[in-house]
Amino acid sequence: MGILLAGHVTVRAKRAIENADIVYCLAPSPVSEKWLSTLNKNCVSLQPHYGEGKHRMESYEGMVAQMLSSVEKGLDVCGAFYGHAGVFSWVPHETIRKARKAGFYAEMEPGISAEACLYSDLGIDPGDYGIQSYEASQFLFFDHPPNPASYLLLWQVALAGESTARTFHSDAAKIDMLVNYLRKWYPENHEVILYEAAFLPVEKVRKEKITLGELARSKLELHTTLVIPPAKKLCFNHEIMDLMGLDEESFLRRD
Amino acid sequence: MSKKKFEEFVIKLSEDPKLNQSYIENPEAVMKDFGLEQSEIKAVMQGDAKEVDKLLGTKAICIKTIILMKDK
Repeated sequence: MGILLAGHVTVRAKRAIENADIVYCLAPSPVSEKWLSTLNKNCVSLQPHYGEGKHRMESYEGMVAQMLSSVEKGLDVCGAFYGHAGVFSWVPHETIRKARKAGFYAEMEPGISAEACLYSDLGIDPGDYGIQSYEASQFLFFDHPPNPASYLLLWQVALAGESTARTFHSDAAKIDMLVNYLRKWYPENHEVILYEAAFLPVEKVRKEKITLGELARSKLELHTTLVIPPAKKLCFNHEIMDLMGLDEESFLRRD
Repeated sequence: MSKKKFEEFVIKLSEDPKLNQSYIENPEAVMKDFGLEQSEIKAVMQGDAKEVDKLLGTKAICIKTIILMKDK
């Protein structure tokens, strides 16, 4: 259902919500849930599955089970999730996988994701330099050497290095470790952006410029994204260009 | 504060880019025209997140876990 309350939902998604027997939702605010209830009176929040100290996988499995139980009862079920239901989101994918496996028809509608908002709000075109986009802990725990000639987006940076899946609190020591790791490719004074999309139209989009070195001392929310602009120029791949009979001049000519 | 009116305003603002443009240009006037109370207008103008939360409800957890290391 997109990021911005009521304004980002697609025509098809809205119709799916309106026509369902029951709507299970994971919305960013109570007013979003209220708005959904105006589209379909039988709207149930999945938020109660979350809990501090509860393993998030248990929360997610509970959500999947609840939705599937309605599917098994023969109801037309719609899951309404903020952003794009399939981006950084295990529950919708798993629910669809299981429903299909059980022989039910299930499909996912695309939605406006936080990443889509980021391109609009920050005026970044991913086609210009390329984009590398990782969940921050995934970036840290696995071998993802960044290419400093393109943008690097680290989602949920507040929880970088968080491996318990039981807490929603940031750890400054781990953020420091992230900064030290990034220092392999980026200088400490490299300008980065703390980005937060607006869920409500009365909120301001956060696009705070700081240096990489200031990250651990900055206020990080659960939905803050670290945007790291390129630190070096794009380099031509002469091996490929030679094979194709191209030279650097070829890219400057407009004829 | 009339929570319902404020919710209605926020939803309208989300759905209507034209109203949103007017709001960005002159938020106070747009809220006043819509019939919001002075205390509501003040909360928004001052960026008072607590007061806005009182009107719209506290924000939910917005997190999606990618790395799932469930205890065995």
